[in-house]
Amino acid sequence: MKNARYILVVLLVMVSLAGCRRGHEAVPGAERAAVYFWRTSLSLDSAERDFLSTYGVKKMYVRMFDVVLRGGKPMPNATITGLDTVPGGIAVVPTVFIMENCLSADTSSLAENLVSRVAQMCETHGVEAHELQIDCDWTVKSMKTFYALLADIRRRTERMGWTLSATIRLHQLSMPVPPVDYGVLMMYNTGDMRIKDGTNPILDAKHVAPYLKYLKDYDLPLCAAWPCFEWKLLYAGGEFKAILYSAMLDDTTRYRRVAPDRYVVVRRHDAPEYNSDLSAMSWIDVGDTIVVAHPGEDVILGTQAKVIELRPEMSVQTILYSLNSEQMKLYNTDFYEKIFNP
Amino acid sequence: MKRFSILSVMAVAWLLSQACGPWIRPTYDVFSVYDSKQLNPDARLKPMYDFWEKYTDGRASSWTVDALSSITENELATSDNAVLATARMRGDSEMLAYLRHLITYLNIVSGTGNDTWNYPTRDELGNRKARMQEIATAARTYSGTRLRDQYALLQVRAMVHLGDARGVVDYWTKTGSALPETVYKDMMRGLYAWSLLSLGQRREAIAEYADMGDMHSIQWLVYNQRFSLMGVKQEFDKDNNSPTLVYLVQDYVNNLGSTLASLKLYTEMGYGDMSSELKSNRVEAQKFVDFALDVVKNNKTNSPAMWLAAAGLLMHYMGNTDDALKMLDKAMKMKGTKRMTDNARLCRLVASTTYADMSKKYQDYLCTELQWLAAQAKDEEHGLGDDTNAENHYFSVMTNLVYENLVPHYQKMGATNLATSLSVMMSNLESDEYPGYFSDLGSLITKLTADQLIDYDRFVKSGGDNKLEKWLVSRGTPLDRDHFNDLVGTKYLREGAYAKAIPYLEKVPLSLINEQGISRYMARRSYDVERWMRRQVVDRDWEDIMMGENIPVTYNQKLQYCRDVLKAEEAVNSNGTAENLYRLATLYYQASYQGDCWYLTRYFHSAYDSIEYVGEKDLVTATVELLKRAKQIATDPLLKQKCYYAAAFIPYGEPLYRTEYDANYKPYIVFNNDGYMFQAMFELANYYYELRGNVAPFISKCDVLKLFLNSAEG
Repeated sequence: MKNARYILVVLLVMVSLAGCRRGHEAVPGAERAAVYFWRTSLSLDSAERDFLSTYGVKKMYVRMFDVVLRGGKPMPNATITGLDTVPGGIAVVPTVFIMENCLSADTSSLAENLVSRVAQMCETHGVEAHELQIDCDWTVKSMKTFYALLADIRRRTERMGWTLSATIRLHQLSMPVPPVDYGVLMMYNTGDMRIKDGTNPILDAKHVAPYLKYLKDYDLPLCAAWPCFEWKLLYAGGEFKAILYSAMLDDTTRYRRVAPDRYVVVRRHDAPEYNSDLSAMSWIDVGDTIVVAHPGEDVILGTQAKVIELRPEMSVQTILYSLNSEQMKLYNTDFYEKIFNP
Repeated sequence: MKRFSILSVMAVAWLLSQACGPWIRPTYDVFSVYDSKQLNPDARLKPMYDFWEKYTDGRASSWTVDALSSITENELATSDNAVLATARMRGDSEMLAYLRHLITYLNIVSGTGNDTWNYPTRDELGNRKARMQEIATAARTYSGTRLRDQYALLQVRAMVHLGDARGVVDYWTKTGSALPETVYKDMMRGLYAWSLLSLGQRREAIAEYADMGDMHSIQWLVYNQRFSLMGVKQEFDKDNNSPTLVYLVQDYVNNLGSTLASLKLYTEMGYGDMSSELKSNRVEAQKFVDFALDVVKNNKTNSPAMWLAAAGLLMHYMGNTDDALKMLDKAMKMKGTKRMTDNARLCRLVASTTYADMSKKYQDYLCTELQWLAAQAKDEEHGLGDDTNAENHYFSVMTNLVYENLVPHYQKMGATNLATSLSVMMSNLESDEYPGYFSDLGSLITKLTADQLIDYDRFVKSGGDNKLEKWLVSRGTPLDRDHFNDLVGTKYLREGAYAKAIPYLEKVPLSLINEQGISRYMARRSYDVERWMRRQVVDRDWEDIMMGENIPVTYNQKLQYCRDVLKAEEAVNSNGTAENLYRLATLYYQASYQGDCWYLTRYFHSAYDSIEYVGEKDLVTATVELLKRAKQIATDPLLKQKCYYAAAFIPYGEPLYRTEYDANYKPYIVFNNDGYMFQAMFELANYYYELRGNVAPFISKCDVLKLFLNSAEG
């Protein structure tokens, strides 16, 4: 009887231990504060340099180039210039964005081309890098090809002694983990800007909530990237038309504010950023609506707290998207202090 | 320019309507004082391509010239590129030396571009820089005269690549600006403007871009000044004759004009009250007019034609067309570029359509101006070349002027032939590049009655009465007889004039029907089938579609239909039995836009079809009326049931029910008790109860009736 009780206790302990999930490791080479740099020319203004020093940002994920389909082949596009001007003391993580449609083309030499090019860019411009990040909005359809590509890239980066990471979009949490050393959970662009349903397409709890159930068991070291930008979304009769980058919404001769985040166009004009051919269809017309999608600090910090509650190790490194003095003005010092020190 | 006969235009229009639905033409801006050719880089580079074409005796196309950048330096002696081959064949060492430098330059530029997998090493970058310096030196030390302009451009290009903006500015100031006007100088000037910009000399750069007509660059650089009176005034205060004013004034007038119209429409259509914005914009427009008049009156500008035309057009947009016409008349004769005086003339024509009438004076004026406009459009098209997407301003405005102003205006006045011939003239001006416009003429002819079409045919044959009509008729292609007979016969059928339709339809050959998209339906459907009893499906799947294409019609069903309907109508008139009424109802309904045999009365079909023109017989209403009479007098039980069922089957008036939601968003049905469909279903239900459910299967199995009965019982 005693033995039987002993066995029962041991079994219960074993069962309870088996039920405990092992803790997730933090991302390798973590820095408390990091940023993405996503422009095509690496020239930082004084406000951006101040930002890096003020908040002790030590790591910058720099978009080196995109990979797009050209002539049916995956080819580099929009390569960054000015790589020689990276501020001292900042670790650069070369990042490459791959358009998903490239995965339907011949990718047999893509890993070799991509890794060689990134390495050569770093060497040519004296950038010391130890990591490569791949950004791609892969889906179930392209996952197999993408993971094979990542595995190929990883074999090459390992030989160079580099770490390999990948961005993870929320919808990708429900898929098997990619063959990388860690992932960066993209906590922005969570919605669809084409759908005007009152939710915030940059970050909205309603879009995030359904995916959080996957987070705890996602078997890959993770950190998260958070938004510090807003979009001015132009709609015509409910149809999404464009993102406006240079609209000055306080100009009352052009816009009438009809709600805190909503404006109606009252004088026709164009937007040079998306109007390249001056065709009649590219005007911002009277009656068009501009919705300002601006995730509130409370939404971002609240979602960050929830994520860290589920995965405490995600507090070790925080990345902001992206380093851009114009957009960063939208949030205050207190917000940046809080988000980098969760 | 390709011409189309009316019928083929209509066929395309119908095809388009079926595939894509209606196309809404944008309202194009009227005011244009700079040449839109300037927006087209290909047109700007044309002289350079012409040079190489001439040099190679026509063997080098623009593609051959562009391909020089993909030739490597090692291939210089062997490449079969026409440019290189010609230079080698002629032993033209001077040209070969230039081509070697040019190709080296192009190689370096494309090699340092962002779009290749081979990223250069540090050494390669150094090497490229050294080679680029060699090119700059070679260009600088060229002592000949024949290729002086080409070398000048090459030198500036090399300097830009080396980041020597100051050097470019100095070179241009001392040497480049004094060179003769060539495409190379034009390109060099663009690089000079870019260098000014990179040195922070923004204002000077803007002036250069404006003077060159580089609209894309201007668009970015003066963005904050555009679309506002303040922006125009600021620029004017700096320089009364600033080249940038051409763009600022044009943008301002077009945007304000469009804004005034849109604000008015927005408020009128009930989207919201924009009256305060409308008022403030009108106040601003008046301020601009006053400003422009002051500029002209006090001789403050070298381009009074532009300023007075701007004021005149805005006056027209504000509703004061009388004063607008006076201003525009003056503007046409004032000083300015040809484009500016042409612009004043076009603005005057647009404003004049407010008073378009049938007077000889106006129609003579209209004829002259439309001929001028057509020539302008043709000229601009040639200038643009065949491979460009740049807008043909004159053509675009002409489409608006004809289709949006003149045609509706003359239709409203009852001048149908004039309206139709204006549309035909316009469609004949159109090329393959503007397929969407076809629908204008197609839609217009669809809405003509048979008599109007016959009258138009007579009008065309007569050659027209006055200058305008004669010109328009000369632009139109007479109707092909077979198509004309088919079209008139079909229209008469559609109007219920079956006896009139027969002589026309008798002349239509089967071969014509078999060419039409409707033939595959005609070959597989019968109007004798009661639509409410059976749906005759064609195109259920791809296999079905493929099969249908191979089934030719063996007789003109339209013709047979007319004969059968005439007999059925005669039977009803002489003996209005339920059987006769039901038979005629069956025939009418099948030929209606709701029937399976819609092809009898039209050439395409969509879910949005309805009665399209005054004079068209409302076959659905006629069917409803016949069934109403038939069910009252029918004695045969089965026929009576058919009448009740058919009456309840037809979608007519208000839908049977609508869906609403309760506080918990649970849907529930509300019947539209006052509508025809409710009444018809109610009568069918009563009849069902009357027969205690002892009815034919087509009634007992009717799910809509079941829903109705359940709801009634519930």
